[in-house]
Amino acid sequence: MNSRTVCAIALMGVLLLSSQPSLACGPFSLDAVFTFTVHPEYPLDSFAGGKIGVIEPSHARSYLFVAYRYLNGASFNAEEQKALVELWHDRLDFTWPEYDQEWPKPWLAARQKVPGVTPAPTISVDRHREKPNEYETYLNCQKDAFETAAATLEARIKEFGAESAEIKDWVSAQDQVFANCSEGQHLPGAATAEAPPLLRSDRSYQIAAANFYSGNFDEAQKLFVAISDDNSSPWRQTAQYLVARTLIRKASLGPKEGRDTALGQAEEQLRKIIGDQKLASTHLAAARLLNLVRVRLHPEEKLHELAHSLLRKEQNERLKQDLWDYTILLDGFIGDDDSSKKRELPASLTQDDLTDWLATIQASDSGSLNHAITKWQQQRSVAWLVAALGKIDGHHAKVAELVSTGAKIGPDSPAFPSVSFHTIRLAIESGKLDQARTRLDEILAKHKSRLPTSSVNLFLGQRMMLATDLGEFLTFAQRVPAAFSWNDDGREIPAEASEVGEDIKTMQGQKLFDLDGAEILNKRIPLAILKEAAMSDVLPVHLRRDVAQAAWIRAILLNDYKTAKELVPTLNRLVPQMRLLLAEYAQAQQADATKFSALYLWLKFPGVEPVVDAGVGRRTQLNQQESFRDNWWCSSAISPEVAGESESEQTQGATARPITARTDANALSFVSTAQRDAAAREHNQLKALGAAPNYLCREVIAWATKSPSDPRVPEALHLAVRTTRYGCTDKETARWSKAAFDLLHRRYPASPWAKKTPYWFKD
Amino acid sequence: MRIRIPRLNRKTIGVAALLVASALSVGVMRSTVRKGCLSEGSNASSVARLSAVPPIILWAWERPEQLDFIDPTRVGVAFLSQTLYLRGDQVVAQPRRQPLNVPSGTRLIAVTRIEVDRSPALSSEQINRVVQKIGEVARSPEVIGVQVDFDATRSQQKFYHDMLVALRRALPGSTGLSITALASWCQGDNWMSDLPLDEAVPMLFRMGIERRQILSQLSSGANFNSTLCRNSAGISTDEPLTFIPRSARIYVFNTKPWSSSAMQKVMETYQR
Repeated sequence: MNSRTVCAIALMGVLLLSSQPSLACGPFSLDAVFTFTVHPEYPLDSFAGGKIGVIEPSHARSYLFVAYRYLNGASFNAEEQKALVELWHDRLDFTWPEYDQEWPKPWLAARQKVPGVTPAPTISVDRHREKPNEYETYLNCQKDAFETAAATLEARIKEFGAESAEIKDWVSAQDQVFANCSEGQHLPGAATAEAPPLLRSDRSYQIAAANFYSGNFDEAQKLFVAISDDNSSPWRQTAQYLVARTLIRKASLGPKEGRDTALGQAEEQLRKIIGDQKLASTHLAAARLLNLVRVRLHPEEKLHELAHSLLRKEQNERLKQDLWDYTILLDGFIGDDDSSKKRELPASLTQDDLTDWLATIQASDSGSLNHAITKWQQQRSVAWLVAALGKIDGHHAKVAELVSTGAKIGPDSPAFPSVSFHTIRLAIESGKLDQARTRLDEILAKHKSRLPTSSVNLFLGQRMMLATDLGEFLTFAQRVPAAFSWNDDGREIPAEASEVGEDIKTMQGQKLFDLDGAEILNKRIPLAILKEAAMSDVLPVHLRRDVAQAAWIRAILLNDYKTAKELVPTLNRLVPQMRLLLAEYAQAQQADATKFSALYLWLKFPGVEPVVDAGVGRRTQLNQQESFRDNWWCSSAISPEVAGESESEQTQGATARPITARTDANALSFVSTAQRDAAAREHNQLKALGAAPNYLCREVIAWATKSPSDPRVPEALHLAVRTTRYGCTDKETARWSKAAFDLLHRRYPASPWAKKTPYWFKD
Repeated sequence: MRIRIPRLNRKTIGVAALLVASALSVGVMRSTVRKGCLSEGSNASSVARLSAVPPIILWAWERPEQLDFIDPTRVGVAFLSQTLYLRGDQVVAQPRRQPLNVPSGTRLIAVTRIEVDRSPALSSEQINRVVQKIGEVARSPEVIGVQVDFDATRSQQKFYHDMLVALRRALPGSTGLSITALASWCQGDNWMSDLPLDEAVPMLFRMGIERRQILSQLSSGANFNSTLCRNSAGISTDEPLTFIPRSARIYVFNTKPWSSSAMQKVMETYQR
């Protein structure tokens, strides 16, 4: 039997635009997420409850809608907040598909109660469209169809007896109905004139349903209409509803040219049902279907309607569905959240303030700034103030007016974080650095606990760029991540406890360097300042260790042995495993001997690299090799760019860029121009060294040639060959691998290190 | 339940692959390894199976795709036709539910994505069921080959291997058999060496922590150790690469539904 109720949500998912995110390849490393850019940080309940923090235009529109409401002084009750969180999780979480192969089981179990019935048929619920050059499968038979069939059979057995010929015939007809679920056209024969009236009614319904499932929509419609006109049929009310369903199926799967006509007829039929109190039992399902029809038939009108219903003050029991429909429809008009090119919104829709605000805040053209300012001037609303502040630059004529209005926003307002962030940004752009610094210090001192971690990190990023000395810089460069995520698909889903190792669990709450701080330490400040950072007690031990090792090896690579030796006491304290080799290194007198001693140490500590890590970084011990070749140096901080390397996947192509992307790493006031130039020179020197394995092989061979009797040389050659397997290599590496291998075997054939080096490595 | 499996397993895959790679891709053993590789997919029939495949294949994933703008003589389509979920001892099939339109005469490759739960049985019954389901999509009109997309971990590779052998036996002789391959599989992990495949498409995007190393090698002119991986490349429009050999067939993923302009850009970038 056919279904009595249909889930409009499911149909929406199937028939509209819900598409799975792409899956990625990997393997992947765990990322520290300092500021979420795709959605707010977890738990999402906080965001739904009004802790919206600094608004990110790159967040999906369902979150921006929530922000809009809070900015305008509205809120959501507990039920509505729950609905919002459900919607977000439905969209963010991959879930196993509903186990639709299980759906026929109630029917198959029910028919087994009929003695002598034929063996259970295999039923598949999906059917291909069966059109040339179209490759699509649709869910043809829904779960409740099988439940209704099972329940009806139970009732008929009670009336006619399980062993009766009538029941066997009934089951056979129903088997034919469900045979249409996956393919073909299987129509039960008409009931005989002698059959009881109830079974005759059932048979008419079975034939109509068989036509429905086999795609004979015109015939199915005609038969359902006839049943709905038959006052003696128990299916007459259901049939009215199924007329509408048939028309919707026809619109979805039939010829395109008849789509709107069929949807129009379905709309009319559903309105008729809803207006008929005698059909009250189908009103809820009919209303859902009507919503679906209107979404498809009158998208502009429906979007307009939803833009209003989403803003009404009284409780919205349909909030989840309304917001789902609204955002899907909006995607259809201006492109989805990931679209690189947003389309222009039809003028009629910009009359809805919510739609206009969403489109404007996510646009990046100059027209959107002017529009936001105009709207703010017209309305003086907080939402448009935030939109305008987020877009304007510090030199615009309207800045003073906007900033002055923003200053009236109190810390209890949901707009406070956004307004504060942007007024500070504008102060920085206008050169009012002291004012910006004072404001930031006040926010971080007084309001930090009320802000989401993502927002705190944005303010810390601003404050770091205003550092007046190294101590301040280091204070604000270290931040607690908002989450850890594998982020292999760009969804920024926080890793669950079961997905991370103990080492990551111990990092919870620990401060790490974000990308901006690491970028400055690695590229924008010279060795002299990096050395100071390594010796500063502003950093926690784990970050000082990272800075100290980077500074020391950078000094070695830059042949600055004085600085390198000054760092030895610090390294001794922070990396005690290095003590013996550092002592050996410290005793060397000549420059080349000093360098070899340092490189000998480095060969044994593949985790040492001339850069600091951003985020989680390298988790393997410094003296152990890392399985993914993150050894010696393999970091984008200094390696030559690989051809084809593109900008981050997160920001590429998105017109609504995360606000975290807007920082100027050259604006540090405590780094002089001369120091900045020195940093650039050093960076270029490091880049010119090429791949680490090549460099290490070259240096070890040079020392081996000069001091062949140094007892460390055979081991160093062995280790140099290993770097060509476990380090980041290039097309020159094989040559260096073979050269070190040959020298080891030619000059030290009896050495245990030669025996431990049976191969050299090509790639 | 949220599907979480791919990420952790992918990490395991990489470790395992590199360990195997480290044992196999050493200089003095190279000739032996390559001798073994030469037999991969090099029989005449596999060449013939894929000879009709155009030089550019657009991946059409699970979203509405209106591809009526393509020239079927120059561009083919590999469409996600179904996802098979291995849950316990079950195989749950989810067919494509988003529309896909292509011009008449388009060469089609039906892609099957395989996902697993935390403890799949990986039984022979599941192999039979997977082979049956892939065999069904292979019979769709205009489909000249099937492609399997499964990030098999080390512990799942025997199952995957046996399934692919069984699948080859079950498919018509003229139907091509392709898989997507983690780049590390192509680098040195030889678990694919005796597979009856027509090609393994190295996925040169979303490579995670191996990205820099692999792209660095490829850009220096090196090719993959596995010959199965040498005639094609899987790329994405948001991670353009400059060193794909012109002779290689490219499978292209687009982060958004395909458009004529996006396809034209690919054709210009890769000169196909």
